[in-house]
Amino acid sequence: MTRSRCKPRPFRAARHARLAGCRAGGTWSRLIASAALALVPVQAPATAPPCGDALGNGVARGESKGYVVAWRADPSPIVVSRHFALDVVVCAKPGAAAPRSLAVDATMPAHRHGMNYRPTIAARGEGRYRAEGLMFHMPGAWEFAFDVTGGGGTERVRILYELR
Amino acid sequence: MSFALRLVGLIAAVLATWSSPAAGQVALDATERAKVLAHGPWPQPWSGDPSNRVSARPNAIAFGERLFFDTRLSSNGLVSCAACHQPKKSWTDGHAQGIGIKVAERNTPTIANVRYAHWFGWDGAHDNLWAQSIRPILDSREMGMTPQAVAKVVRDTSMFSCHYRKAFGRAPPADDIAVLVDVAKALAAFQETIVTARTPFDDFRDALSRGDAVAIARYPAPALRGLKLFVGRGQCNVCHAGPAFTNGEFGDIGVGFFVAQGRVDAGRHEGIRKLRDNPYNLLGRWNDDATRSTAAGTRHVSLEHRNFGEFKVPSLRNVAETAPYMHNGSAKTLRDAVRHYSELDPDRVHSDGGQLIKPLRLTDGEIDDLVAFLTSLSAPTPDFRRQQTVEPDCD
Repeated sequence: MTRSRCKPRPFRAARHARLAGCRAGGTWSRLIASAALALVPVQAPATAPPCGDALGNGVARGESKGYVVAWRADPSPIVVSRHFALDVVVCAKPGAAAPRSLAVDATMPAHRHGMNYRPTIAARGEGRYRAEGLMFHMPGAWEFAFDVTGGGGTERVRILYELR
Repeated sequence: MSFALRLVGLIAAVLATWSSPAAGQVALDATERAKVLAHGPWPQPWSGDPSNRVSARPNAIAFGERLFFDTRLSSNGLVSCAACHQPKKSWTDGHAQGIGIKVAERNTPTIANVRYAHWFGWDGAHDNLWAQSIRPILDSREMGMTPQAVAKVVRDTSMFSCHYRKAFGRAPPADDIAVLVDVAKALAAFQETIVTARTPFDDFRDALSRGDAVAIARYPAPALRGLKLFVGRGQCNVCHAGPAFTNGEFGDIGVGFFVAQGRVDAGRHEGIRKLRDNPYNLLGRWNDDATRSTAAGTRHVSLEHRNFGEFKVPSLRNVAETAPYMHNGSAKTLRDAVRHYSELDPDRVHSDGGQLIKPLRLTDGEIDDLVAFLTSLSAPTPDFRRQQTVEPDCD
C-alpha cells in the first residue's frame, strides 16, 4: 500500500477548491506539465482533464502508485455529527489496471479510533462510486482511506481532512 | 485604501479576534475563537421529525402534553412521564437513578433539547424520539404497561380518545400496537417543544461573533478562563461539540459500569443490539417517512468492541440544573463531575487505545473556572405552563 504523494497536509473544507490543485502525479507531473505548456503555449491542452473533474467545486484528490482518487462530500462541507456521502472517481494511471472495487473508511489517527458507522459503497461504472453512511463525530484531524482494488492487488490512498 | 482606513480595519479585526474582558488578562486567540463560535448560535433551527407524521402539529402536541402528565399510563396508576421528567427540575428528577414503579439503574436524562438528538437514551438503543417514548411506558421498573393496556386506556378514556381523534384524524384503531405507537408519537411531539433558553454563554458567543467588545466584557472572567480550558487543554469540545454541547454520540470516560455483583451495564454495545432488534426503529414499518431520510445512522451503525462501556455524551445546556451527573448519577455536583475528568483512571477507560480521555490534573482554581463556565451554559428554567390544566376539554 502506498501513501498518497499528494501532499497529505490537513486542510479545511473551505480550502477544497485550492486543494484541487493537488492532482495526479505530484511535483514532477506539475513540472512536466508546466514545461509542456511553455513549449506549446497557444495550443489546447493535450492532457485529459483531471481525474474526477466532473464532480465539480469542492473536489479533492489523492493518489497511490497506480491510482488517483477524486472525491467530493455530499452535503459539502462536512459537518460534525452529520451523516454525509462521498461521490468518488477512481482513475487508473498509465499502466495500472482498471479499478475493480473500492472500499472507504476513515479514522482519527491522534485518537486511534474510527467512525461509529460503516459506509456502503455502490459502483456506478467507469470508476465512479458512491459511498453512503459516513459520519465524523468529532472535530479534528481525520484521515480517509480509499482502498482501490485493481488487477495487481489493493492500493490504499490516504487523504487527511481537518474538520472544524 | 488609505492608511487610516486600514488602521481602523486592523483595530476592528483585533477587537473581533481578541476579547479582553479583564483588561487583557483573559483573551481568546483565533483558534479558540473559532472553537467558541462553533457552539452557536442558539437556539438552532429545527423543522420537525419526518419519521413522525404528527411532529410539530399543535393537536398532537396538546395530546402529548396531556399524556405526559397523566398517571393513567402506568400500571399502578401512580407514575407519569413527568414523575421523572419534572419541569421544575429542568426535566429531570434530581435522583441518582430514576424512580418509577421501582428504582431504575440509570440517571434520568433531561428531555430538554431532545428534538436535536439523533440517538436516544444513555445507550442509544433508540433512533427516534417516539420509539424512545415507548420504552419507559413498557418497562416494568418505570411505568409497567403493556401495549394492550395503553390502547385500552386511550380507547376507554373519553378525553384521550377525543384528543387522539383531533391529533390523528381518526378514532383509536383496533390495533393495539398502532395506538401505542401513536401515543408515543404524540408524546414525542410534545417533548420536541421543550428547548432551553439562551444563556450568558450565548450572549458572549454572539458578541464575539459580531465583535461587540462591550458585550464581550460582560462575560465573567472565571467563565472565560473555564471556556479556554474547555476548548483548549481539556479538549472537552471534541465530544461536547456544537451548539447543543454534544456530538450526540457515545464515549467511555471511565465511569464504572457495574450495576450489581457480577452484572455490568454494557452501554452502547448493548444499545446497538437492542436498536437492531427494535421493531420501532427507523428501518421498520412504523416510520412515517417512506424515504427513510433520517435512517442513515441505523442503517450504517457499526457494533465495535470499544462500544462496551460507552454512554451517550449528554448536552451541557442547563447542566447546572440537572444534577446528579453521569449515566449512573455517580457525580453529585457539577464540581464532582469536573473533578472526575481531573482525576480519572485511564486504565478504566475501555477503549481501543484512544488517547483522548486522560486525567487533566486540574488545580482547584481551574476546577472553579470550569464550573463557572459550565454554569454560564445554564439559564433559569422558565416556569412551564401547561396549555390546559382542567378536564374535560375536548370535543
